Amino acid sequence: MNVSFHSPAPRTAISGSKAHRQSKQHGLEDMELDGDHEDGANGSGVKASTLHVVTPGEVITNDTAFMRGHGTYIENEKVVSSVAGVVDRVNKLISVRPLHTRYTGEIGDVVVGRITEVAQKRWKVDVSARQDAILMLSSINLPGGVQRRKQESDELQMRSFFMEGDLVVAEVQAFFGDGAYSLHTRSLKYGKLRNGTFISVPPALVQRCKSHFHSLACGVDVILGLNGYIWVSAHVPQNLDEIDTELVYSNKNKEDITPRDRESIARVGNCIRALADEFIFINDTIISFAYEASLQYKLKDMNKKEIMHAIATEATTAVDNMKG
Amino acid sequence: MATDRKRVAGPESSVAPLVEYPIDHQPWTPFTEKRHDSHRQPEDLRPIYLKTGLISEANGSAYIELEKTKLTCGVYGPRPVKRAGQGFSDRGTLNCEIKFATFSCVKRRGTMRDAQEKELSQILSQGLTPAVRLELFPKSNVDIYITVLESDGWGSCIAAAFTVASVALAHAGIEMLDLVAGCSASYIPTSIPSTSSSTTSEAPSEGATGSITPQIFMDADLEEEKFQQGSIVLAYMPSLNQTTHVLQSGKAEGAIISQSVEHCVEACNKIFAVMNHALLESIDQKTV
Amino acid sequence: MPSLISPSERDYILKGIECNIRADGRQRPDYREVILETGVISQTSGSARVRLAGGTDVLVSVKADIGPVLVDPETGEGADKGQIICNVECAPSASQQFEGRGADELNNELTQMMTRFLSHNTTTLSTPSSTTPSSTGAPNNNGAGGINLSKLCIIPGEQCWILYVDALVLDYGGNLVDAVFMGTRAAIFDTRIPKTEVQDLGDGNFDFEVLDDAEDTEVVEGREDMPICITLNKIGARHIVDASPLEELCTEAKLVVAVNRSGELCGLQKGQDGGIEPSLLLEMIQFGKTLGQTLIKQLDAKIKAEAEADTIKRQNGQPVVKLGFFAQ
Repeated sequence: MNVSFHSPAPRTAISGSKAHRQSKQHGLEDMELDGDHEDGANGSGVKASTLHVVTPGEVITNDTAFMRGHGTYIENEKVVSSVAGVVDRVNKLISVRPLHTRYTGEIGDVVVGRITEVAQKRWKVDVSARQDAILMLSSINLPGGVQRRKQESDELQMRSFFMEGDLVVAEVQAFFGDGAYSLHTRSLKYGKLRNGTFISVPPALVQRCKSHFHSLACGVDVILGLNGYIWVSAHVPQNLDEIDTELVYSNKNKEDITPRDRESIARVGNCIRALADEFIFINDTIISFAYEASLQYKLKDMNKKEIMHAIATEATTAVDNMKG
Repeated sequence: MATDRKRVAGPESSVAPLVEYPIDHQPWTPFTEKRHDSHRQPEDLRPIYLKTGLISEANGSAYIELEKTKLTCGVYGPRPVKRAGQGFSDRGTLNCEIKFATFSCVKRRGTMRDAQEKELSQILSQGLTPAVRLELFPKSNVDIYITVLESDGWGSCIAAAFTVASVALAHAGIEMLDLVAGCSASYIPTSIPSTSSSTTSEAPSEGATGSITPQIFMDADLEEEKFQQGSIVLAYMPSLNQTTHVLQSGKAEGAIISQSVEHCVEACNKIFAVMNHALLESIDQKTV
Repeated sequence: MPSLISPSERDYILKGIECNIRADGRQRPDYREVILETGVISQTSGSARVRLAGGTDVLVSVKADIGPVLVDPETGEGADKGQIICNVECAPSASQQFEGRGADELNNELTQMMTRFLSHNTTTLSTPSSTTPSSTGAPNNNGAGGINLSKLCIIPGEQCWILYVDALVLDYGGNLVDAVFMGTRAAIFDTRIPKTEVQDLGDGNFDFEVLDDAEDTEVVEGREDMPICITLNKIGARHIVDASPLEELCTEAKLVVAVNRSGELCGLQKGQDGGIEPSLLLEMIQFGKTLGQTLIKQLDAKIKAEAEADTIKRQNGQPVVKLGFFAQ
């Protein structure tokens, strides 16, 4: 057995890792490049060189040249923040991104979600957003044929496709009037998730990338849902032409997940948790570096706070070095 | 505790009636006599009377009597889940409620379910669920209501509740994997330990309590329970060889526990025969 | 606190436990890191906060109060005993499922379990301990709970100390029972009860005075013999300790084993809707017993180290600063 008792310790920030902290990546570079409003920006207190964290009610600028974006409102011709977060500026548009928030999606986002309810011709999916997302029966690939029309029999056996509790990866297709998202899984890369384990991180830590499906060198597949839900699973060779449509909705894990695979999956999962714990952006590069860094530790020790911290530190330094 | 304002409240506190004993009456102790009921050996159970079909309104019912422990049980269902908004479930649920009649114990019980009865209800449903094929009743609910009419020994009362409920379930024609038999045992020291060394609790207790090995009394009654160091209640499925619940309280050595688990399993097999007999009898009555 | 799990996740967890690699890399008998601090709440007689890395956060407070003794009208028992009253509450902020009446069942289950395992009373199964004390005629010295209740009595038949043990669950990350009991042990170790002085007024009348000397206080006697709980979750044919919330959803049957430091079993309770074979049951009890003893040893070492560090600081005139809720 393995048990250890610790005293609480104050949180220590990773030094030199600012470039990868979530606060700096977006927008601020734009601000520096943007020469037109240099004066305005300086005069209004929007400092380009340091990150600008504001709290609700704090005046961001009193320059009327700016437009208000998300997370701000105008009072007495001043732009005031309405959330606690980091100021973003794109040209004349000022917005504030909250640090901790529910997921706010955009069309085309890849999300991982959990089915919470089966309703009339639709599933409700928890995607960590303010409303459960909707997956319509007409937005899924029905088994047994390419793009066949849905029939009444499909409506009666919806639970054979997705059941309460099932995890799916899907794409945001549209918005409903009440702010709920409509999802679709009409591509062979989307659908039910198998062979792995689920991790949830703050949605702000997952950035929009070219791809959210990654196969890491260690033989582990990672799906980074933009809503902060992450699926880490054993590598399954993707042969999109020959996928048996009957198997898309199967609940069975593949038989040959070796203990080695399981160890790698657990390791990757712990790396992601370590990064999330330090509030560092999560992408495939940093996960790979964190995985490399974790190899010097025993798998079962990876839950320890100081080791998690060390792994996150090492991974950020490695990314820094790579970027020069 | 919430009070029920619709009822006429009794006196705030009650006192057990004084019973006049003959002058030479000696209360029972485990140091003088073997058991409170002198006909029994430590491993003997009380005779069980079990009968099905007592409540006409229920889908299945049963009554159990172990001398002065008397319980009735009614089973309703499977029937649709009444509470809406619980979400879909592909398995049925088992809802168990046990209530001690106000007059069932030495002290008068409250009219409303108290915290202990709520916990016991939970324990009973945890112990009965493994036996019931709930996967066959999606979206439905099976309600089991147990009323304790008379309680003579708590461990035996809970054990009897398991037994009577599973017979009632079977009587209701609900598909089950096995019957659940319940059995209780008490650990009772049969010699008076020396009290001198036991007052110092700072010292490791080897010298204090560990020295007396208590005797295991099966199916103890109230008088015997007064002397117990600890007790165990075991619910067991005899055909599948599975324990469905175990509840132990009080301090005991590991060896005593394993011994009493074995004893209880053995006793459950005996109780199983009685349960079988009672069920077969109820069928015989119908076919005649 | 998740309530849903997909069949493939369930299968993955089950097979992982079969080959001794759990989803977070632990092995079957591994605990998560436990973060513990005592003396976090100033208004209490003793308090502790226990966290399991990954979520569970329990705050346990002990408050010593003076109240009338409870005497069993039938046997006259309990006149010379203090009381312990336990309560466990899950804060609605910990999980949406604890909102409203959602936590009622869990609160009641944990409260009853704690009462049963901690109360001195050996016949707790037979009487609701908080309302009717033990009616034992037999000389049972230290009951399963360990704590010496006789020492909590101030004037026999009249006044006694009542220890209110309240556990508040602030965050849910699995394995609540173990965390609650670890916290309770730490909080009881942290508890200091003021001394009292009893005056004989003659005619069988007594009066007492509580000495408000902060330096001169008493510890709870018998605290070393308090039991601790090990929850074993049976998943498939194996059992694990310190289950995460998803692992708890896969659990067929769980067994709570209460053990004290000398390896005596102080309570057993099965939970969840599954069965256990008798042979496996005995094996699990044995396993829980050994594990519990190790756990108690390490927990006590940690509590002792912290208490000693505090004493040294006090002697040197340094302020004893608790990190409390500012810590990671």
